[in-house]
Amino acid sequence: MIVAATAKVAGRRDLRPLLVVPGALWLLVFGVAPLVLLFAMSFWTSSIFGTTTDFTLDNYRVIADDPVYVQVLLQTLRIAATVTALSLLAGYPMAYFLASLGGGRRNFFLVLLFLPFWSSYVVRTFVWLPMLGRNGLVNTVLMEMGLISQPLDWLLYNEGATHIGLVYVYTLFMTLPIYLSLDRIDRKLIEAAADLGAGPFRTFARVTFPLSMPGVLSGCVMVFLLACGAYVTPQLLGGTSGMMFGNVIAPQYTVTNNWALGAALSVILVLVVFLCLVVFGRRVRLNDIFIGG
Amino acid sequence: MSSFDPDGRGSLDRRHFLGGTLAGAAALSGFGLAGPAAAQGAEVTALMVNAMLSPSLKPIAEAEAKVTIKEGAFLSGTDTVSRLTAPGGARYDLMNSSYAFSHPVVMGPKAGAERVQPIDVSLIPNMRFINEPSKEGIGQRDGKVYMVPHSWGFDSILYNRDVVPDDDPYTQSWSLLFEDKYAGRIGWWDVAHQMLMAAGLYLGHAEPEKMDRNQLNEVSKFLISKKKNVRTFYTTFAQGSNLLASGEIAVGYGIAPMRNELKKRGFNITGSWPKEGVLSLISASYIPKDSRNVAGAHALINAMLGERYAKELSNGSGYLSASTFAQENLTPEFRKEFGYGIFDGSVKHYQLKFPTNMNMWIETWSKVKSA
Amino acid sequence: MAALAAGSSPPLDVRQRGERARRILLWLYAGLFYCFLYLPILLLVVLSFNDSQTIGLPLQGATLRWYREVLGSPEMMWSIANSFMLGVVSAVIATLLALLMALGFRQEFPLKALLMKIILLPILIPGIVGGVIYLVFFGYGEMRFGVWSSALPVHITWVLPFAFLTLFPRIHGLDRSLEEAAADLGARPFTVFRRVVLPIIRPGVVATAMFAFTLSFDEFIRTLFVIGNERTAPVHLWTLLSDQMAPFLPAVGVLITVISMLVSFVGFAASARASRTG
Repeated sequence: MIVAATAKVAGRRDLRPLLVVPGALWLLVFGVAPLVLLFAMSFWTSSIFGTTTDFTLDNYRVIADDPVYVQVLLQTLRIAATVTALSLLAGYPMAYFLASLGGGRRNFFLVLLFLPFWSSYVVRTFVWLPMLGRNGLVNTVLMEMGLISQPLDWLLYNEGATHIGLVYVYTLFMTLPIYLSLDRIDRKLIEAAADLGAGPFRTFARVTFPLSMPGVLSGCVMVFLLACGAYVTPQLLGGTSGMMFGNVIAPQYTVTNNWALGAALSVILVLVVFLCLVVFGRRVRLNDIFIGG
Repeated sequence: MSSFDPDGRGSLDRRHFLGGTLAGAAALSGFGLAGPAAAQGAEVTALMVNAMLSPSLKPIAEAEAKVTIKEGAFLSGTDTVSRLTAPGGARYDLMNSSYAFSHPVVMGPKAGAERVQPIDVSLIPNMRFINEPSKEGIGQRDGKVYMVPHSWGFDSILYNRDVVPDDDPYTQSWSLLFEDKYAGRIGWWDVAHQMLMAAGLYLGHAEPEKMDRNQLNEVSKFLISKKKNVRTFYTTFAQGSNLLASGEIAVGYGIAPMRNELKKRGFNITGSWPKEGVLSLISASYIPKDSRNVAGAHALINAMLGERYAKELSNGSGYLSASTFAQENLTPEFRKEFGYGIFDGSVKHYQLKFPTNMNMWIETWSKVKSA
Repeated sequence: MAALAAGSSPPLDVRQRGERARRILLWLYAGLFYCFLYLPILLLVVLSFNDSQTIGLPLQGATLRWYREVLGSPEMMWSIANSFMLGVVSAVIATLLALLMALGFRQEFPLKALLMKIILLPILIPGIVGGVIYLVFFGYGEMRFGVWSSALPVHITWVLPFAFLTLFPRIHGLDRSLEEAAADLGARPFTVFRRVVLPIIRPGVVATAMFAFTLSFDEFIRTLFVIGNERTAPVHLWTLLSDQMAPFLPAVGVLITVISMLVSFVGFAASARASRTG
């Protein structure tokens, strides 16, 4: 039947694929072209007097010569990976909880999950200062309870705080796709597993979890990407140790005026992230990761 | 560079100025259609430290210049200068940043390569009142003026008097910012230039801006060894002020407006006068080539050197005006509080200068940060 | 948002041994999770009424002055208005582009796989790089920096992939027999779309637009680099953290949250209505 319909349309030349043209053009201009320009710029020359198009490999040489850049890059990937893992640990049970609810309750708790997301990203990061600071809520409560006599300084301004901030800010991007793929699971499969005598853990390990993998992958990729590009969170919460690659790139544009070096650093970050995705996404097609089950 | 020639205006590039005026007029008519801003006169988009246009200062500047000021988001002096070389133009009508730091970029490598337009000094009668020390901040080449001094700022160590007593000998030098006594309660400003200058000065370099690679390495070794004392870095004035105000840090690198605002908001926080000298700088105004309101920019530069603005500047922002008006009838307390001793030598200061090799400085600082 | 508008399926995890114990554990966990989520927000609300010159504890009495200051600041109100308008316009345009693409993607055409990767590109580029490339791109393009000149394309590009990814599965899964039946009865393609396809996908489209709005309203890092002198709400918040002490900042945060909540609820109601009538 489908074949017949396609054939019939094909008789008149099927113009429907042309519907992708506006979107595709848009993405070529505003998605691909800027990236190409950035790549070109990474071979240009910057001085305090601005950037000229003279070809050079110096920007990459600078990055290769100075171990600082590699060090921060590795640190960034490590932080992003840890944040992803923590988000998954925190988000999966939450998604499972949502999927296990009945209709009305489920909508209520979904809205509750979305609410903080509607406050601004900057606010969601910033709010951890009065939470974890010397005179912050956590310290105040602990001192009131008499559990500590001096405020704890290690709560804030270190890598740990950056982790908390990033998990908090991006948690929705993990929970939501997992919830969506749990939601799509055919309930009969779970019942069948139970009927066949599988215990709840076995059912989860053999049926539910594998079927929710698309959501898990989608969430992981999303959080990993967002964390790799973080800039504000490490700057506000990371203190002297939480520096990430974004904090190396941005000053090239806002402080030292070295646009070409900034472009080279950006290219490297993009390439490394793509590489991670290729390795990560080898078993699953990229499209499926994002679209979910 | 040191003397200002009031008759130099004869050689001004009139074509430039005319073009600018036309552009200004065009901008004006454009805004007539665009929005309510035009009701109060031409709009000038300005990029400068926000304190220079604080609530008590902005109305004066606007009234005297008969313009409406639209403030850009000021990030740092370096960011301001970097916009001059950005593709697509500066996109501001008037800019202001540290003279020493901006001068090389603003003036360009050679005559004709200036990144800004010449300023028509005949439109800035208040230039007559620029005080003697500030004349150093006039940027000129071949009789044309490109930068006009606005004010002096100075950086020192801000400290919370509830934690650090005024008679603590540490407050007498930059040691307060580095040494172990207040470990864990110290904040550093995340700016390569200022931090390395302060550390260089403290370590006894007579001219820190000329430090070579070995000397910079020593400075970075010192800073890395003291980094354990640091609670956090901050990148903006407000971050630093908030850290001090909330008690998160008790000691921090600070600029004059931070000190002024903290005091105004009632915090028991003050700045020290280190024996190595506070780090001082002259802020200068300049008009980018793509300024759309050149006439308004001129009027604003003039207004900011005028009597009303100059007399309010210290109180409103913490800066010292470059105009002689500001020094009239000051009480001794006021002079001391705002550091007017910089002008007569009674306050020791060292002027921030552009380092011989900036890239090396940046590298050194990122080494310190990521250590 | 997309999830909200989707019809609810039966609960997962039924008819199993030890269900009660697991359910209690899940509820406990959810309670903790929501504490983690809401404690900072509650603190923000409390601080917005705190009569203190710093943002933080201790509490020093209640005041409404921060709200007065914010509501009296035209800059703040403009930034919120800008964010709102930008969110609506970019959501509408991105949803439209995404809808067209999703419809086109039901057919096979050359380079389809490549186009799919290009669609994902804006998501795959790390945020900070996303900001930088547009600074460079619009800089060399000599474009004016502002809400409607440079920020709008950046927002559309950022939300477009998300819009496509939410719409595509719904449109892809459509039963074609209805359309074919309509076509067999002589309906023109556009009529088929309007009378058959659109009513089915309408809730999905509304949900997508809502999701796009939320993403645009919250976008910060890409906007920061290309907004020039103008402000969206997140950018304004960031400048408040940069150039002045802003004890009223929590009040701003609360106001922004309330506004975007209201908008989202209106949108939610609209999409619920769309599902009913659809």
